[in-house]
Amino acid sequence: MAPKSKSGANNADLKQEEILQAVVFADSFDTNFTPISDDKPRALFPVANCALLDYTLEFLCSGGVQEIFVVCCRHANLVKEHLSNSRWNEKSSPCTVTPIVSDGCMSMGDALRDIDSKNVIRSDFILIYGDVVSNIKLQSVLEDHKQRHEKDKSSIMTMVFRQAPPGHRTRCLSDDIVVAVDNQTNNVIHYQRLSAGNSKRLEFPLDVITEHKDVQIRYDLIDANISICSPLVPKLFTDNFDYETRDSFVKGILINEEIMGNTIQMHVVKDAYAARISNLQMYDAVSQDILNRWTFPFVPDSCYRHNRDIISYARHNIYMSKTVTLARDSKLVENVLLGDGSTVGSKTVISSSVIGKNCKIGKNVTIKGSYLWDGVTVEDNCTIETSLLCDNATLYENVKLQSGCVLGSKVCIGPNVEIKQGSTVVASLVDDFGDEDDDATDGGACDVMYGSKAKAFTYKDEDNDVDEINQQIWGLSIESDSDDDDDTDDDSDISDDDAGSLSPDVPIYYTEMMDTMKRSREENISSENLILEINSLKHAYNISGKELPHLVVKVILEHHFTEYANLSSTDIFKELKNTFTRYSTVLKNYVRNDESQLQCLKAIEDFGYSSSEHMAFVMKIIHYLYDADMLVEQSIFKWYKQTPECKNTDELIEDEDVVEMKNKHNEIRKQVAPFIKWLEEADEESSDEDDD
Amino acid sequence: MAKEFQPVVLAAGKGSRMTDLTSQNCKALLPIGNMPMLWYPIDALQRAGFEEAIVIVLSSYCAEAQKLLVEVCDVQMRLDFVSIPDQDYMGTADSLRYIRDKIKRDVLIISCDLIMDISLHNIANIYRTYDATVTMLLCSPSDQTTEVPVPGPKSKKKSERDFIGFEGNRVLYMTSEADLADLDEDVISFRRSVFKKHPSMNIKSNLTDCHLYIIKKWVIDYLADNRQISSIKGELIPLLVKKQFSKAKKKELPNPNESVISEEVKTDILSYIPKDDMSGVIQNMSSWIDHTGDMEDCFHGNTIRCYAHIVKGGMCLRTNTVGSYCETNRQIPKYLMGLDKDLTNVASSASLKGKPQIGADCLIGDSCNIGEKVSIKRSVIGRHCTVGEKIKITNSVILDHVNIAEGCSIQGCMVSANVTINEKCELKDCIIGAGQTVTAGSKYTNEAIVAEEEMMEI
Repeated sequence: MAPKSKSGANNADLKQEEILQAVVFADSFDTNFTPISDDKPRALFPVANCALLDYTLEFLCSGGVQEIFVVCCRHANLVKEHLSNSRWNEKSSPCTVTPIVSDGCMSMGDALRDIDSKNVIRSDFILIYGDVVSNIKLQSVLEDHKQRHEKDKSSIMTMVFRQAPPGHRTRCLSDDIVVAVDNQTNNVIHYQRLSAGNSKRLEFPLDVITEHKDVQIRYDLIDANISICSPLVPKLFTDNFDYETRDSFVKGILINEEIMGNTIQMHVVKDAYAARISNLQMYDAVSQDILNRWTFPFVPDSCYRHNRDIISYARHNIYMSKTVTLARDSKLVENVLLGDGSTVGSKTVISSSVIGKNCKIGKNVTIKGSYLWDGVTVEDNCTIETSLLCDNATLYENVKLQSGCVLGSKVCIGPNVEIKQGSTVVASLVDDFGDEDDDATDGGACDVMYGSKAKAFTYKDEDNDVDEINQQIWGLSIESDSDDDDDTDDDSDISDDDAGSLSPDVPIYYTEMMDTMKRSREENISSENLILEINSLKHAYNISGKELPHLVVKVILEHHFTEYANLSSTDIFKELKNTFTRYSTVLKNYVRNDESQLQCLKAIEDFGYSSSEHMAFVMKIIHYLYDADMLVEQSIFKWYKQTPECKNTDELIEDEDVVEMKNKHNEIRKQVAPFIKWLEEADEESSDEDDD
Repeated sequence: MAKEFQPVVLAAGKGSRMTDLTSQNCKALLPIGNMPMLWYPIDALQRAGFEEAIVIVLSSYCAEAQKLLVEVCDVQMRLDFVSIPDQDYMGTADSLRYIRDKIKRDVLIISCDLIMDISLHNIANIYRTYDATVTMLLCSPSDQTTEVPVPGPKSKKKSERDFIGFEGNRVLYMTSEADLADLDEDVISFRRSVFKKHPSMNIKSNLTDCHLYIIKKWVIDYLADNRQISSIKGELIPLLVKKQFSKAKKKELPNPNESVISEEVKTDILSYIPKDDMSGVIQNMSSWIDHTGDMEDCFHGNTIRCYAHIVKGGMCLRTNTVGSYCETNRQIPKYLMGLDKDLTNVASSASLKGKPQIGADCLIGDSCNIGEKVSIKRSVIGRHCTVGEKIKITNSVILDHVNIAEGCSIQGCMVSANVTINEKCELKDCIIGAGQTVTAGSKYTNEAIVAEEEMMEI
């Protein structure tokens, strides 16, 4: 082995030795973390009190990478400053870390093109984001890649995935992926990022299964966002200006596979950790994983090199700096990290949380599942649940943060307020021109809801609703609970399929049934046969069982009133009684349970709407059916209390119709009121009797 | 095993994919290695220890089949022959529906054209392990069966690929290429909920269905009520695979006033599944689970479950085309000798003149006359054939009572019964129909020489 020395760059021996390189993007090119990423790049976010970028660099270093290029775009000076003050700039650093400032890069593609133009990549390199936490053993992945590349020059990239079944904590909905791999060649043939959990069906191009004999479709993977690339990759980015992200690059390579002949392979790790902090939900998940030591050896107690601070590790995953001051009766439940110089007051309970450096936590405070960055002050009697408090935020006395709150740096809230779920609060507002508005301390234009001493504004993000959704998902922590709903919906899809997916022909069915009624009257068909006919009609026109009582009652009434239209109203009612007795078997067959009774009442109501004459009959009909034991009082009460339905949005638009509906609805209720009153009294009496 | 399942041999196929051979002969009785095709599945059942079986045959061949199997093949099993009328078109599922009354237990359905040396226990074990609704046998193509020229006129091969999605042995998805083509879309879609439960699905399109199924009895009851299903492979199995993920609909509240006439017809497939309290208890008490990754119940509460046993290596052949018929015949000597160590490839009653070259992979039937300077390679020759002098036969199948005159060269051909081939013919990749006479000195390549009316049928 040639001795390593930085000065010996011209040494011939050194040239032959392959130096393993890596490219780290210290910019995510997205806005998932606004507003907190406005003054601090994501790569420098403290995760378990250690800058996120250091996890990535440490991981690369442990994989034997000797030369790392950190691409900085936004907040480049902050990243550079961090690097120059870190252990990576010390003599003992195991690898060289070179920041590359490429201002004005809007995407990963731009940054890679920039790197290609600088001509620094000499061999296979690792492409990674500066927000990846991982403890994968890179050596074996690299070896596999090299072997494949030697055998087949066309394999230009190996993507690293981590196996995690759906519902795993470190899976987040916005990063869901499906990958299809050819089992015979191990080539990735399809890579698809799924839109945030909306579609019930996953779609693949047909070629995925027709062109390959043995395909594995995998939905149990997390994209670790680590890729081993051959030097060809930056050149391809330069050649194709439409490659913006790695996703578009992968897509382009896969589509052009036959023309260009380039292939992408995958490497799946089962027992190592890898996750990218792409949003708040992932920040939460990864932080908890670090506290739970899934990322070993990258855990708080071994990161002293970065913190220059010794952290002790006690059972129940309690991590503490030596300079922490704990009140005697404070309680650290489990999975807690307390940073340098923090103090905790008495009767305070902390669980599953990370407290940064120099935080002051008062008495009787409850902190659960939350992240307090450096210099946060929490006064007495506060409650914090699943929230993120950035540098130097202050909570005055008796503030309650509900889950999912995000407080930007220097925000002050309180005293005596409760902040509702999923609020994002910043210390100053930035107007459209990018100038800072008058500071809260001067103007005092703060919302009253944040308390008298507050220095806080509700953050509004006009152009990007997506983030808020993400944050809400994090706060409510319902990541995978929606599964069950999906399933039931799917099943209803199936049952629809079974029915033949024809839309029910209600109007035709209605006229058909009227004819049947008429015929039954003329030919004196028995009730049993009438039921049979109705049932067969139901199948023929694809009517659901629920609609049936409604239709049957409506048809009977309508039929009756058209037949006896010329009689006086009293005679009509007399005849109606006869009609009901004749059809009693039919009615009893359909109007059985609560729901069908409601349907029946709805039908009578609809019938009442049709004309004012009919309206007068509504109460009588209901009364008659009640006497005939076809309707029970509970259903009648239920129906009476129902509010007018506006099923279709169309009705909402046409105001007149809605008003009319409401009028009619009220009119009917008015009509029936005496009967209801009578019923209620009767009901009370009977219950009184029961009591005796 | 014999008490567990009731074996049913489906032998009423008409051989629609090999009309050149089946126009005059019943498919199930076509000789393979000088045994009727039907004998092989029955023999497999017999070896697995079954003592009785139901055999479904076309009524016109019923008597012949019975006679052949019992007298010639010496089958010891009790065979219950059920004949179905020739004229009605009956699919495989129709046949099952026809014998519904005879089915008392779960059924093992085996097609008459399956020849395999795999022990049935492998499949039965899958059925037992997972309490599977359907267990099927799939085989991956062996690497040896490379493209061999198929006798007869060249025709475009219709692709009959199936796309089957697996997780382990569980079958999650099944569709045929034809169905996909019917959809006329360039995407294929899956339900997301299926992927949530079975996140790693392996879709294979290079497997062939061997038409051997173990099916629960309740499925037969379902079949009986649903007459629109006529084929097991084409309709019933895909339906069951699809229905695995549907849940039982919520039942309506029991109503005190019973309906005068019950309007509920048993339509939902799930309502056919018999309630077995014991198996529920067993599942609750068992710590075994079929998946990892979530805390759901075993099988995710699916009551219909389809599984498959995939055969890798070993012999597993389906004989449903002319090509596969020839291929099966070529491989059959090895198979038969594997079964019976004492079997010689030349029947003892055959008379050989001189020292003809007969490869070890050949079969020569009873009472054959084989002349001098004859070379036979990779071929099967039926009973009572006369092969003249200086004849070369390679890669061919020659059925019973065939006369081949001297100086002929027969390569890759399929020669039916009672054919006379006159002197110095050169035949390559041809099909010769039953009773035909090939005139002397003729040369044919890739042709079907059959009677005219048969041609019309095709």
